[in-house]
Amino acid sequence: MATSASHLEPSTAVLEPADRDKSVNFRAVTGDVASFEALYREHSGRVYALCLRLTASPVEARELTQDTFVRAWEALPQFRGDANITTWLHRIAVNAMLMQRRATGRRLSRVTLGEDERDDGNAVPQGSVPPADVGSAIDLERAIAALPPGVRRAFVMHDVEGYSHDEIARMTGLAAGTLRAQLHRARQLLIQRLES
Amino acid sequence: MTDHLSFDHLCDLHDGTLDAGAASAARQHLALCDSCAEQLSSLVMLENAASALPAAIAPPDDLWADIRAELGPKREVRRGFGGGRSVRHLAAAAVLIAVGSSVITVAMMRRSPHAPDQVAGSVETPQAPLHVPVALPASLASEESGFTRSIDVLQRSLDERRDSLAPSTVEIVERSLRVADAAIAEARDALARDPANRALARLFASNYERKIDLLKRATELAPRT
Repeated sequence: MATSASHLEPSTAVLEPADRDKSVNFRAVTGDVASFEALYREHSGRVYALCLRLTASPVEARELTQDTFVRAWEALPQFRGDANITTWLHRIAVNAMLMQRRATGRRLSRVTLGEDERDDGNAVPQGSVPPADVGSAIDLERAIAALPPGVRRAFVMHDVEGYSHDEIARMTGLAAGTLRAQLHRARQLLIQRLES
Repeated sequence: MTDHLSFDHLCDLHDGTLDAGAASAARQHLALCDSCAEQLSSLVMLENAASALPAAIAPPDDLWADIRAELGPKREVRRGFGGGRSVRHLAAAAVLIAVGSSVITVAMMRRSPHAPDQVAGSVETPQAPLHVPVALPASLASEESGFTRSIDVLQRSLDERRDSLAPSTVEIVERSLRVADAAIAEARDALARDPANRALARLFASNYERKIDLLKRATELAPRT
């Protein structure tokens, strides 16, 4: 059965199918699952890479990637195409991660210190590798995974993904001073670990 | 050289966030201090290594299936024909007709003084399958004829617009109509066995009216092609 295009045009018709990416987005906005799957196939690698580096846990990265695309599916009608789709997906992933962290933080706040207070340079997030392995392997991915969550997020977003301080601040809501301190701390820890 | 640049200072220089005067002073220091220059070199190497990491990492193969399962039919239905709420109601209405009609039919048959020993369509009467049409009294047959004429008109109108509906919508509409037909058949069968039962006659008519309503609503969902 053919599908009429006329009644499928989204109200947010800012998207222009000028290139393949936008064309896929355009159809995905209309609720076309096949087009959304194409969008997933094209962008899931970058989203999963971000999630894996942010969480340092394959299990959490999988959940976060899944959450990201489900949220993206729900939010697609509001996506107006004036943002880069990758940045848009990354923002959703970061928001989802922060919400998870806040929820986890509330549960743990009664028994543990805050994230920054635990940043003693030796903390190892659950699911990551021990620092000894990181130092001997000189493996940047593993060294990043061994960073405390807050500083890892700053490093991944700035030095790996290439976002500016302002962009990260907008995505995370972090104050500029906090972000700067976390980024510097991450670099210091990584250099120490990779050179040890 | 005792006043080395702090690591924060080196990072700010590397990131270009120092003002011009501070940056100039830092570069002058770096030209003379091997220790600080080495630290800056480490920063540059780290950033180069970080930016060289693969931008994409393949997610698990089965992840899409999990995501797809969470998307559910809601969006497909809503976007497929521009009225998901209406179609969900339509499908729900059909189910209500079927369930309600069966319950009411059985209840009416049991209450009726004219009821036979066994109830049509119930577990106790497998020998009376619903799909076998049973002749109705003339008055009821005439009423049914009026309903079927209306249904034919609406069905033709819907058929003309089918191409503007998403396949998933057509599937829901057809399933709903099959449910409605089953409810009509059940009431019709019961009425044929108990033609004096006025409550059953009302249910019979009501089921037809609901099928007509389903067709009307389905037709409204489909824009003309």
